[in-house]
Amino acid sequence: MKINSYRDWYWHILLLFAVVIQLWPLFFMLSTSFKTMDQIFLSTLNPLPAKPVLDNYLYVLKNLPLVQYIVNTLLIASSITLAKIITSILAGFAFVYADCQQYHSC
Amino acid sequence: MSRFTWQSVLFLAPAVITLLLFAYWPLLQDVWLSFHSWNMVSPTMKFVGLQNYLQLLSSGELIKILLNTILYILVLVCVNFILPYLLSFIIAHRLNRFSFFYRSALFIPSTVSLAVASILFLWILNPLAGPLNIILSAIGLESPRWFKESGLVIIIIGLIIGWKVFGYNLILLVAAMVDVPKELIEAARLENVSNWQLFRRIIVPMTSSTALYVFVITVVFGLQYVLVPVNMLTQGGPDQGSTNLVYIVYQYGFVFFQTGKASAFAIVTMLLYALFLIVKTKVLDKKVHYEN
Repeated sequence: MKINSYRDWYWHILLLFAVVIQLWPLFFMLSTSFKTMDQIFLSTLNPLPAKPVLDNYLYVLKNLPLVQYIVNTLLIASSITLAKIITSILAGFAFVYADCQQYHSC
Repeated sequence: MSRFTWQSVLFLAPAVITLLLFAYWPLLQDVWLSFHSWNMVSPTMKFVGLQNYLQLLSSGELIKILLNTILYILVLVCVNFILPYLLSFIIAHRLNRFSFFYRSALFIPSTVSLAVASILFLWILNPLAGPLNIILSAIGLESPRWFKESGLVIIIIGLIIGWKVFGYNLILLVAAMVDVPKELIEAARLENVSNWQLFRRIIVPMTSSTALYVFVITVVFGLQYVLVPVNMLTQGGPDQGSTNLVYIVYQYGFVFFQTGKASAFAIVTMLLYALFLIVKTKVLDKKVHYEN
């Protein structure tokens, strides 16, 4: 008898159900992004657009300062990461290596 | 010896200064503001003593908001704590293969920002043209107006948060579950222990410290996540049916410009959080097994 194998097909069904719930909205968003306006309303549920178009992407690239947005995002994300790492590494080091015997609370 | 203490003070300084500047100083200002009546532009503040608190307690608004908040917490604890806890047990210990696939697939929505998630679900749940309505009408049901009925709206917003945060909590819990020694589980299997017994008697005690952490972040951060979808989808409506302790502070402060009442609400919220954390430390920590 193999110890390491479980009967697990019913768990797979349950988990696949969860995966569908988690991923379907994202997939819906992706497929909608390739549809034209009337396709969005006429074939909402159809996952594959009849004629995939790039219009929406071109619109975003042309009419929005996308590069600026990406730069802003990068700046915010990296400065937060840097500030958090610096403050918490220094504080964590102090907590572990400071002489804590005389102070009961640290 | 004293040199070393000075060093540690220096090491702690960046974190402590940031905390003082951005957490404790605003907190003191908040206490001060809550005793005044001000609208953010007027040059003079009127001292009104405890009037903000008395208004807040006598209006009946507080009860409604508290009940909403509790409902939010219940939904969030179900979707973001109990459900991932059970699923992470299955992923970590009941599967022969593909557990990596499930972990990654379930984590993907966590990378989506809450603002995007709100707009996405606003479209999916649209009662006229949304895909869910099409599915529901195909099986002969009428789609309710999800964001317009009190009670329902809280559950829906809780589920939107759940959709996003679920994967992250799942990863944390799976990591804890994987750390449970395989020998214990094999021994339990040889004794023919049922799944439920295995979960209840071995997994829960061995993962309790991570589980408590996930529970606390679900309650504490969950309500802060709620701010984004509530602000984007309902603005606290219908008839304050979806507002909560965190959103009401934002609304009084930056929509109605009544800083006094906003601050009073913020203080009440903070006291309730403090109460929750005291209960957590006094009661729940005693039942949790930390490894060292």
